[in-house]
Amino acid sequence: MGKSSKDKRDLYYRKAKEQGYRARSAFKLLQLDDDFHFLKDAVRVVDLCAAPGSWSQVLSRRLFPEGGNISDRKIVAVDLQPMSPIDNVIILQADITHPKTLQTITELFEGKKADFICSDGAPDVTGLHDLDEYVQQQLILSALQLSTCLLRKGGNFVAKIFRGRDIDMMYSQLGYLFEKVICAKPRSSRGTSLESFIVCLGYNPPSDWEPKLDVNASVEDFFQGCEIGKLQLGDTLPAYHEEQRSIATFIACGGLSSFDSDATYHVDTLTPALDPVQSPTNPPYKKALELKRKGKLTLTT
Amino acid sequence: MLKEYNHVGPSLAVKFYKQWCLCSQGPYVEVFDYSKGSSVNRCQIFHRNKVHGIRVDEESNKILFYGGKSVSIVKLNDIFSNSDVLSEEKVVPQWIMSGEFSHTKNRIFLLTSYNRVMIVDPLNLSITRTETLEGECSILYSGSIKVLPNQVLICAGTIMNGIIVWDLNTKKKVYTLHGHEGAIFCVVASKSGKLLASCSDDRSIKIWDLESGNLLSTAWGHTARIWNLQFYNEDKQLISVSEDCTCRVWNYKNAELTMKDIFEVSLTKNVWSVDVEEAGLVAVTGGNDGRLKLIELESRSRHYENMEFSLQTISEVCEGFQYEKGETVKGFHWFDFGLVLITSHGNILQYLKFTKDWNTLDSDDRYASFSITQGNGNTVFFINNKCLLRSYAFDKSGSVLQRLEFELEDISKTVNCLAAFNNGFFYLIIESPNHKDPLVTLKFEENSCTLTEKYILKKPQNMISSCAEVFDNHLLIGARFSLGYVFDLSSVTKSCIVIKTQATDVITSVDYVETSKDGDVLFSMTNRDGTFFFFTIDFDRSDYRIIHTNRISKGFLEGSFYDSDEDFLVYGFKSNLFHIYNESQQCEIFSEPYGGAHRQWKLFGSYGKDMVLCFVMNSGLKVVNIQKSEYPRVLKEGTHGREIRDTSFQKCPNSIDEKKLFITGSEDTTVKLSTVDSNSGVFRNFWTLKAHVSGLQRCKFINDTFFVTCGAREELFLWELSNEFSNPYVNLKQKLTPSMDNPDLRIMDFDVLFLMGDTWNFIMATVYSDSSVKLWSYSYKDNKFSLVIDGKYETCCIWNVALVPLDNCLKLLIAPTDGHFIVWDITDLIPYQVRRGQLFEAGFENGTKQLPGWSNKFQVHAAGVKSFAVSTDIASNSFKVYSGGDDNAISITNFSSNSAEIMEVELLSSDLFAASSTVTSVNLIDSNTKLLTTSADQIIRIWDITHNKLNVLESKYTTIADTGCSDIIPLEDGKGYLILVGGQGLSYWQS
Repeated sequence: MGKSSKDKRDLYYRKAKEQGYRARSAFKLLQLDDDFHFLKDAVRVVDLCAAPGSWSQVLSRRLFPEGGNISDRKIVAVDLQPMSPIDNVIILQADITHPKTLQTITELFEGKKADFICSDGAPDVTGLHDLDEYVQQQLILSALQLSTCLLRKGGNFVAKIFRGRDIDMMYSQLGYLFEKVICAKPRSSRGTSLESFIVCLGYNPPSDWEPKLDVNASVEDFFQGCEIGKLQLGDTLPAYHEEQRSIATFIACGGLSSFDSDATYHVDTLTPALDPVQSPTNPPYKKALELKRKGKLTLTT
Repeated sequence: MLKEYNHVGPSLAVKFYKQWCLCSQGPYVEVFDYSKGSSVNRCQIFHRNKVHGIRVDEESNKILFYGGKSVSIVKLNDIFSNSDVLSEEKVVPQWIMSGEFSHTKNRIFLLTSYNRVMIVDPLNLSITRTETLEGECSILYSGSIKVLPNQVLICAGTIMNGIIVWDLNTKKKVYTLHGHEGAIFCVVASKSGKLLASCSDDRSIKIWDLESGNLLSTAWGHTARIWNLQFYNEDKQLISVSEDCTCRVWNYKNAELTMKDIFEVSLTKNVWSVDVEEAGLVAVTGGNDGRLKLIELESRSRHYENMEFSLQTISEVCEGFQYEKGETVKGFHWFDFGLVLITSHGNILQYLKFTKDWNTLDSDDRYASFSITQGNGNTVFFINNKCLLRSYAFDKSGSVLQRLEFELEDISKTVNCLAAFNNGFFYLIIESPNHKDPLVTLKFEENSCTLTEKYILKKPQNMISSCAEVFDNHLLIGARFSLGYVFDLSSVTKSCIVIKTQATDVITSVDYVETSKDGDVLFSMTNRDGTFFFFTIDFDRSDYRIIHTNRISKGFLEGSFYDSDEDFLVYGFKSNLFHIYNESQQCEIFSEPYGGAHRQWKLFGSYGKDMVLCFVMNSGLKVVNIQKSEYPRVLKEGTHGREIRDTSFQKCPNSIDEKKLFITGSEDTTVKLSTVDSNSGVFRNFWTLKAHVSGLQRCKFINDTFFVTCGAREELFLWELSNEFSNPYVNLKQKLTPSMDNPDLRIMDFDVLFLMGDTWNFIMATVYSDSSVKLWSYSYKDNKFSLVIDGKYETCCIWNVALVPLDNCLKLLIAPTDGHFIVWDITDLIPYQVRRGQLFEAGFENGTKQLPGWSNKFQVHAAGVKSFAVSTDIASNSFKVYSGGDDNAISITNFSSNSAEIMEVELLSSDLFAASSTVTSVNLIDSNTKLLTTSADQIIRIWDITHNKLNVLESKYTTIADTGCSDIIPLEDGKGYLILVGGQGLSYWQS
């Protein structure tokens, strides 16, 4: 699909380009913040799985308004992929599961705790729903691992989720670490997509639990003792049992006056289509595409 | 009680064991006797998790299943007899990537997603050890365990670029293999343990030397991601399956991997699993569409008798035939004894297949350069352009019994000669290029050249014939410009019936199909552009009716037939192939590389018996035997390759036997018409309708005869069903005319209300993604939709609409993405009267009216309303709406009216925690006392709603991911329901 047809189809895509955002997902964080105001008094914030950087752009614009007293504010964006620079954002190309990353961020924050941590990360989906949902949950738990080491008590955590068959397990697990767990859906996220955002307010870990990142520990090992990944391995494999599940309160964000991402808008087609703020990255299958163009990859012999 | 009877969905594990094939679908494993294609048993392995892997150990008589975080070790025999082995299910903390029996079979290794190996005793399931590789605990995308006599190698495919091979005993890394880009989707060692094969997001397959860690070969071929690889045939061959729907066979020789074969095995997207049986003759694949396909890799008989002849080589062995440069084959006919052909120089040659001898029958200049060849069981006819007709009749061994020649004097020249069989007679239809000449039809006794009758027919102007069929006393001619002509042979002066189709190419075949109980005669017709039709002819009234129109997905269509399994098969050309395609099951069953559609070719015999494809190539001929596979084509028929967006039962109680007809509309842009056997739950697909060019939003039977489908590009189609023949047929009756050229403008939903006592004429409300609301009236007589009301709600997308007739008014109800219900009173805007909830003809003036302002707007959900069901109470002039939302909630809302336009609205009940994800479908059941809902959390719930309160009576997990739609139909005895649930797959339930 060409850029102009995508413009017609998706008003948020068009708006993102007009406002200089790298992706339409910027509006999701904007709409979430408009409802929850978690960025209002935030001083130190972390954006995990940040590439291409649209959420970091939102953080930058919200935390560093022109003329504000903002000298102590810090934004750190982490991703395995390289990212182009963003004003007022410290970019780390690093692994969020590695203790070294935690150390670097802690040093950047001069030992102080973070107020807000977010992650809009999602793995490349395979189409195997159960595996995709598992990998997404593992990604959230990895982000959460680091977050528990960084967040101040009362701090907030937001991550992208897919509301599939096991999301209620995730709600239940996060309920042990935060005062309140909410499932929020911004108007800029399509109603036809399983995507939502888990908004965890008021970080409040069990008093007897100390988070500790270790390269050789799994996510389950990490959360031992705080009711997450609760499967305690004894001497034998436990029989199947229903895991604890709970349903989070649902909140629609963005207000009814904002654009509906499911709607078709008849925008003026004469307006020239803008170039995307950032061109797509090199995919791993770049060579395959090249071979396909040359007719070397076919469906018949 | 809700009970699932059948489920078709992604198949993630397939495994041959002796004469059986074990195939997973969701949490079930079905055992097939694969050479017979029969199902032996279906056994539920896990409560919720899908089965991703199957390992059999014959020695210990054990079978290992794993999937997600579940693992089960079961007695082999139990899988053949038990309906479930749920009590054996165990759980581990992490996703299981792979599992294997140890070399001595007294241990089981489980590799998990964090590169951890759990070593388990299969007897008491105690965990003996858990091993990790220091510093390498990042999440994996794939992995396998290679058990060798003295070593266990763990092959781990990481999320980015690398493959880690480590030794379980030493806990040391053996290799980190770099070379791929992106996530590694499969990594597997060969049987000998000498080689390793891998694939990644870069779409290449790499072969590595496990003894040195060197990259040996990189091969490309798949057009999308590759999901699974397996070595077979002593490491000399590799098989792969991919997102591109193909299964490919690769040869590995001299450190080079090269592609050998490509098989298209599934629909639209993703083949997940593959296995090859011991001898390497058959493979089985499992697709996202749920299809379990058998592939004959090597055959003892396939291509056995294929022959290639060039005129030059024939001349070396054929007495009396001198090949001259430039001489080509002009025509041929295949017999049981062999072949007869004619060359461009008028040489008529015979091949006897049992003795492999070539004879010259004649050499005649008059048949040089132009000749047409036709034939029957034992006679071949040649006609030249001067209307000279020569025939040879043969005995069984190929000896000439009779040679005849005569000149046809009724036409001045010959341009075409077609053949047809009917009722013991053989017909030749001879056409002249001169428009004033008649069309001559010669009738012979079947399998002889005894002329019994000659018909001189008046040729319609502009008719250029392309194919023919004779039925009773009627000659059917298919022609250019996609026209058909029907002549009455008993009354040659009678003017012919002209059959007009929507297509614009050339008709390639016309065939008699069957005669119904009522005496209606059914014909099929194919068109080169890929469209095909079924039509009936009323010979008395000189009229015809097209009852089915469809098209193949790609290529040129040359002909069609029903096979012995009642599947509809089509054949033609696709890129460089001649292929036969099973249109009912949507799979290719034969293909042969071919020079191009312009070459001369012919198909002889009947499929499954003695079918032969002959075609001209270079200065010779190729003869290909088309044999049915030695194995069943599929073990299980699949469904759509992508998400099913809607499903609907035909709402008539007297469906065929115990089989219920239903439709499914999918993201893959097709609508399937299928039946489900209400007892066994077995699905059978009849048609895959390809009229839509965008993904489907909704499809619904609006009565016994009609269904409506809609989607993007403002597509809304009305289909008419014909039930009078042995298979159901559907014809695209009418389309709504799009208002603009916007590919994204979707028709999200529609609702229909028939006129009182009328099953043909109705009004229909449609709602759009741009907030448009329209009302149409449909007249069957004129086959026309007229726009009655046109307007807009706001700017948001509207997901649902209902027409609600009350005592003396008609309400229009919509539910958009803003979570509101909006009601209009449209009684005065329609050209009909409403009385006691019924619509009556009023003779009012037509014309389009503007949608006025709404009369009610009431918020019920925090986000969009995904689905609703409406119950009306005419007596109290009120209705209730049962709705499910994107906000996980289910609500009951009451609308009542005291003759005023504005209704009183009351939220009777609401469960904000009805599901943990979007509620996607809502159905009223049991005389509106219960509600059946589906939601994206994969739970089917039945709610008691008797006192306008919502109480869950029953919840059942479904393995269908992206659970998006359902439909119900009451059982004939009124004791329960048949239920279809669609999403990523389709399942059939009873309650």
